[in-house]
Amino acid sequence: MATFSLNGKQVEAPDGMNLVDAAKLHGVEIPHYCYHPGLSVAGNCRMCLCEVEGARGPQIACSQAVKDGLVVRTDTPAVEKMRKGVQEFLLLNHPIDCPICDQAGECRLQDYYMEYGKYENRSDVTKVQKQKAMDIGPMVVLDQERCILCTRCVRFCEEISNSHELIVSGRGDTSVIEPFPGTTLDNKYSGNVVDVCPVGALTSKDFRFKMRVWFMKSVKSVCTGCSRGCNVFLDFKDSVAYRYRPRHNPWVNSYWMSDEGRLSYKRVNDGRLDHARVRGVRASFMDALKEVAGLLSGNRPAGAFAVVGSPHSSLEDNFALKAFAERSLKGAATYGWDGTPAGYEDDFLLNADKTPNRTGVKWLGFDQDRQKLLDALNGGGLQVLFVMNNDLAGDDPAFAEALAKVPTVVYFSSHDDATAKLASHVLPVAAHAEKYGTFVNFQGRIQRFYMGYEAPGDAVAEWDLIAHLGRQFEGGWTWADVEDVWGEMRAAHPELGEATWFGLGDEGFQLPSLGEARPAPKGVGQRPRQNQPA
Amino acid sequence: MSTTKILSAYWHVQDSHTIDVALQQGAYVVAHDVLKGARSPEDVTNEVKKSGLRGRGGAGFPTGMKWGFLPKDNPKPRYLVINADESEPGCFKDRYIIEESPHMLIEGCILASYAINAHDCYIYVRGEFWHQQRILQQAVNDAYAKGYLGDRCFGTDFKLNITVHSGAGAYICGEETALLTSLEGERGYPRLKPPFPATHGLFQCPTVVNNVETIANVPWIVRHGADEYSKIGKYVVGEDGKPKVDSRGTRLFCGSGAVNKPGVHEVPLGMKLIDYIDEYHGGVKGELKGAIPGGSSCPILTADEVRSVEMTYESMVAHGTMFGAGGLIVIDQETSLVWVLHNLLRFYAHESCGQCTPCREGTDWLYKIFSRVLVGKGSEADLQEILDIADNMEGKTICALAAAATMPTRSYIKKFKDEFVSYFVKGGRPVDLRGRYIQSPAMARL
Amino acid sequence: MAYTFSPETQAKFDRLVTRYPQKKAALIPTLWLAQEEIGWLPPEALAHCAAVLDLPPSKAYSVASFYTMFNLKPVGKYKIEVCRTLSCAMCGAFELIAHLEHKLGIRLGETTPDGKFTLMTQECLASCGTGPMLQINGKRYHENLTPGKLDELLASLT
Repeated sequence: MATFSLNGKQVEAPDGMNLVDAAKLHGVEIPHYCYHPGLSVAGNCRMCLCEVEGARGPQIACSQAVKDGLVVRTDTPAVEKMRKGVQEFLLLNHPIDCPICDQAGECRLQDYYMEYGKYENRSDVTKVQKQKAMDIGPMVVLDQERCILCTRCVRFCEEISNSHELIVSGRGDTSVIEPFPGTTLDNKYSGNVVDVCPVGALTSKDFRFKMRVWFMKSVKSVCTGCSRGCNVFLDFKDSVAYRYRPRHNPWVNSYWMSDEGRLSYKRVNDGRLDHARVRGVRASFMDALKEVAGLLSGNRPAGAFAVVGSPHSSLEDNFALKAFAERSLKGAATYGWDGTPAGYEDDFLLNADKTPNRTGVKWLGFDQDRQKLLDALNGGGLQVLFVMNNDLAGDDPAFAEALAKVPTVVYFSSHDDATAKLASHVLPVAAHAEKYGTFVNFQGRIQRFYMGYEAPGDAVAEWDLIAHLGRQFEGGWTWADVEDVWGEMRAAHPELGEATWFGLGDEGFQLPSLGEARPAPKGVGQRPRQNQPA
Repeated sequence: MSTTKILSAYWHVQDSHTIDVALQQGAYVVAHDVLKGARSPEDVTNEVKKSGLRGRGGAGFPTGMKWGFLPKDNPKPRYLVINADESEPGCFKDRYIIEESPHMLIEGCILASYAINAHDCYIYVRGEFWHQQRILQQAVNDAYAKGYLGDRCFGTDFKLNITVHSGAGAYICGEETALLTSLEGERGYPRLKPPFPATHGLFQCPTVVNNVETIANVPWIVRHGADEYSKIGKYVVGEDGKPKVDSRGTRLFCGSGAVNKPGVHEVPLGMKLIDYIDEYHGGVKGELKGAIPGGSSCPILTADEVRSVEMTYESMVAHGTMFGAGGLIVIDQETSLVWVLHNLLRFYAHESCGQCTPCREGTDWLYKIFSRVLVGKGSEADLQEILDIADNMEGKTICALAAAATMPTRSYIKKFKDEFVSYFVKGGRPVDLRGRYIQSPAMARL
Repeated sequence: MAYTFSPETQAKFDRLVTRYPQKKAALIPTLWLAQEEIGWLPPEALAHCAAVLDLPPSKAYSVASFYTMFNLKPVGKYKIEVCRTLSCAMCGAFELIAHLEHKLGIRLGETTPDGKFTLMTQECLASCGTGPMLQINGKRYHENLTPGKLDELLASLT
């Protein structure tokens, strides 16, 4: 640790830490555009200028390392004037088209203008004209006039995606960001340039003109696009998800996420199941629940029941299903196979396993063998099969055939998929945007996601549905919220140790039995492949 | 006053750029002796330190001290880089060293490399010097052929390769760190300092960057000694025993603008500027208004100041300006200073690399304001605005290009306030194609 | 259209890369080689220069666009660049430009219809004592010009 003076106060920060970050630790915001903690320091925007005792002139905080005895001031009239000056320079050639700019509401130019600008416009010179609304790739639209040339996107393409599409061309105030002539910004992580862009120069093709950001709310969530489980913010309005934005987690995704994951939010909106069905006929939630409860009351032999868990459902949901199998279904077999097709994988964030919780399902002890499940279905002894959020029929034709042989298939599903069409009893459940829960990523890290909004129609979280069901015919199903489920799970799994639901934190909990915590890979092609999913 | 010529000693000789003439003039003698063991590297560095030689590229940093900054214990290779990117408006001296005595530069490179223990030397020549590059490359080839360069310089164990590297048109590459970035095959962006080139220079290795003229002085200094060198120029010790004036040696001065005989002349430091103009450039053409002493980035001198200033670092500073790279541009009374500044601001706007916000936006903004003012649409408020913009630029950027644009701007407006105020307030006055005020209503050509 | 170096240029390139401890440092000299061959730097040439140095094409483009001497668009057979900075301007650079515009029938930045001449300005070429002056195709300087000498020069360009 180093002790330094910040605006007259003696404070501490790790030795060598960047002054922007160090000041932040002590509640002092140093405005900046080009500095991004996940990228190299460029030092070009000059917004973070501050006064450092003994230095020749003002210094930029982003390239100033904290050390013992450093004396810094960020609150003097001179600093204020420098910030105002930079702000004025940046807006000099900016189109100031905020009403039609998607960045409005989350734009550094706007924020800092209110904070440090507020000057009378004194420029009467014509603005430099550059290209607008350039379609530069599958994910991103570029407006060169809005660009402040902070080069964050260029550094991302160079240092993280290692794809080098975006560069600065030209010189002086005719410099622009652009791809090589005839090429596009097209890599597996291109959407990140939209996040790093502090202004409205790079906007998301998917999100463009869909929603003003100030109308949306945001919750911490986890991407379900693959088994890495990149930490994200889920932005939504009412009951519609609009986008994911990566959320920093040094152990999982750093500041980034893949394009594939970024667009996977759409699954929360599309093809949802919002009502129950009994033998193909729409039913009220309670009627359907009673029907299902009725299936359990008869005197059926052990082995008449089985359950199938799901890597698409949370750890708590799967735990609830397992508890249900043990307590209410006479220790029915718990299967955990899921046929979601494997996909693209690289040495950065993308994982071939396109489910968010396969590791969690395995950790809970579900049997993930495909053949065993298939044999059980084809064996003839099964009378009632409970399937949770696992489109067996859609993912694998062999299962479509096998499921038809089971007299009763009860399906808890968030989506109206192929298995829902086939099941005798269908009950709607919440997607991850609509409930609290955790997923265990492929590294064995338990990561918490938050509820954004109410689930559609009659849907409830799987654990809640199971508790409802249990209460139909026996006592003891007292779970009122997800913390209760977690508590029971922690009691059953000493490995969770001191990890309480509320103590999980934003960086998650690494299950010791599944490996050591390792930092997120730095970028594409910069690290050997991590261990494969089971 | 001494009339010793160091750099231009044999420029008058026919084919002075060839190795044969250079050898006749004593080139490579001292390098040969030094490398054969007559002097240690430390000895050479100390001689240069003692001589008081200061960098001729603009900043005037003591050369020997710069060499001494290289870390002793860094195992990485060291590089000597010669800045031959001469691009400062008003400066055209390094090209003559290359054109007339390239072997003096090469010998200087050998001695400097030996002193700092560098085995690779790059001479970064501006791209436009196509002709000079060819002369220099031929000279380098000849030096290789003679065995002065290569794996065994002069038959010793000392290895030195010199590479002539062409730029491609960018004033900013004359800035030390931008030059290094450019030399590494990048856009010529100046780098954040620290770290400094002495520790993290070319390819992140310890590097010395010296100007052509600086290095061309080295053979003479090593050959004749620091004491002899100190006799040239002006060196005055004050009562406290410290030097009051330390402007030793000669400098190449480039005279242009309103002088009768423009050109380059080597003169000892310490002369009065007005005497130099009269003696070497045939006097001012027309009536003296002012002069830019060291290249376009230097603050301007008024006519009175031109008459009183001495050609020493100290006198220049006392007059609020600097020596820069020796590019003297004389301005006569007929020439509009508003037009002059407009011309120079266009230069800086064109040459700003575009990396830092204040410079990228500010240089062009100032230029655009002056474009409006020049055609008679200025106001007194503009003057205040220009000074404020200059204040927001100067010292707020990675390199000194912004300051190179704002220092002249501020000095012109301060020292020639009457001309600017009357121009800004009463409206522009028409100028001809050479920037001279005219009475006819013909429109000024920008 | 793919572009590769001629054998002579390739030989020059092979010699040139040996001068630098990092290949990338040879980028600007390599771009010079390509421009010398083609007269300008089309995207294919940029891509080739980058490829031979194990760089992404975007790097070559970014770098080339920074430097004024690289032509990213085709230019006339003779690219005439007149220095327009202070000392030259004071001794007649703009008169020279006016003369050239009149003589060639084009404005600054334009190329004659026959593709022979492109007229441009350039910032200080370190010829302040010998102005006004111009440079042709980034090579020889033509200094101390007068309209008369300029006419002779233009006539000599075939």
